[in-house]
Amino acid sequence: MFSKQDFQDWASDNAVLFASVMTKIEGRKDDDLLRTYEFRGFPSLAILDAEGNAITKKVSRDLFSMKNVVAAAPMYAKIKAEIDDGKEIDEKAWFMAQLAMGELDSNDVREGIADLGITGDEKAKAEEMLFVLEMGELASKSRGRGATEADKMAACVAVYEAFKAGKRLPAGAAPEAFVDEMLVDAAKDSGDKKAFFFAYDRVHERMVERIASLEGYLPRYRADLEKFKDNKARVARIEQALGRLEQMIADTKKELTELEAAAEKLRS
Amino acid sequence: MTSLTRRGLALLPLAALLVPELSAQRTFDQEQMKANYAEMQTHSWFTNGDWITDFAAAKAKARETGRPIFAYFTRTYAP
Repeated sequence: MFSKQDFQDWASDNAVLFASVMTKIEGRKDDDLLRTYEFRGFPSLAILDAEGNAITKKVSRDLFSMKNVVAAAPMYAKIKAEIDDGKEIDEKAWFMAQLAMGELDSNDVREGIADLGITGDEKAKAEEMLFVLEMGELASKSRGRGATEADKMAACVAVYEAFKAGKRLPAGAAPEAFVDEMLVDAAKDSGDKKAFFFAYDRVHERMVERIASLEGYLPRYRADLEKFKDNKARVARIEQALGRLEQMIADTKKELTELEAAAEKLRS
Repeated sequence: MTSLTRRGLALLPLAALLVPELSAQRTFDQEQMKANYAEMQTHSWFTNGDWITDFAAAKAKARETGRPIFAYFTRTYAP
């Protein structure tokens, strides 16, 4: 994420990028700054104010969310301070700030838009984020533990219906990969070229990247097999892990071949 | 008293000797730690962005620009 040009272009104009690196170098100032914010693991993200106070420690890993959180953070901090002081606040501004900070679910957003009478550009923004939330919640439900085939089918239908209704995720939103996969599946069944090719390039690129990433681990496993060749138990474990990795690569390559065949069929 | 308990009690003096060793903090090879940090600073995620690693400097820039700090917590050693 941080290597990508769109992140850098956005960050250079909108945020102060601070890498808090725990190095275990003795005497290095602020080496364990992470503990100040009570994070327990790496990597972690937070948005801080100029005094180093955490405005939020909940930052999603997609660029769309990051942009919204950073843009809303100053207003969010200001209104939160007013709430803490017992002052009256602008409810609409608070709703929009909480929405941008990822603190609301889809039900909260639907109720907020209706109850607060959100209109105009704010309503458009809120509805855009509501769609992102809805797709994210569908992704969690259809892929989470206990998800059934019926959940997955329902998700596929819901995504396809949203697409046909003209709804589109903003670029870089977290559920994009999920929505793209659902669209490709739905479109393969229905023969819908528009839906299929809307998502095809991104799905294809992700599969190619995944294969390259998985194949990147192979040399290390093979080197370990050679290194530990006299340790039977170790070799057995490495071979097992290597077998799983090779299967994942084979499965993804098969999916890629099937995707390309579907594209060929729809083009003809 | 069971035989297991008797054996356990017999090992107590040995355990007492080991406690200082077990509780000693893990030490990190400083040359390796410095090498790790130097290597991290060549990674593309770091070199391609305007990352500040000094907290005071980051806060100063935030005050100067009015922008929030996007803080990324990471490490360069294996636990």
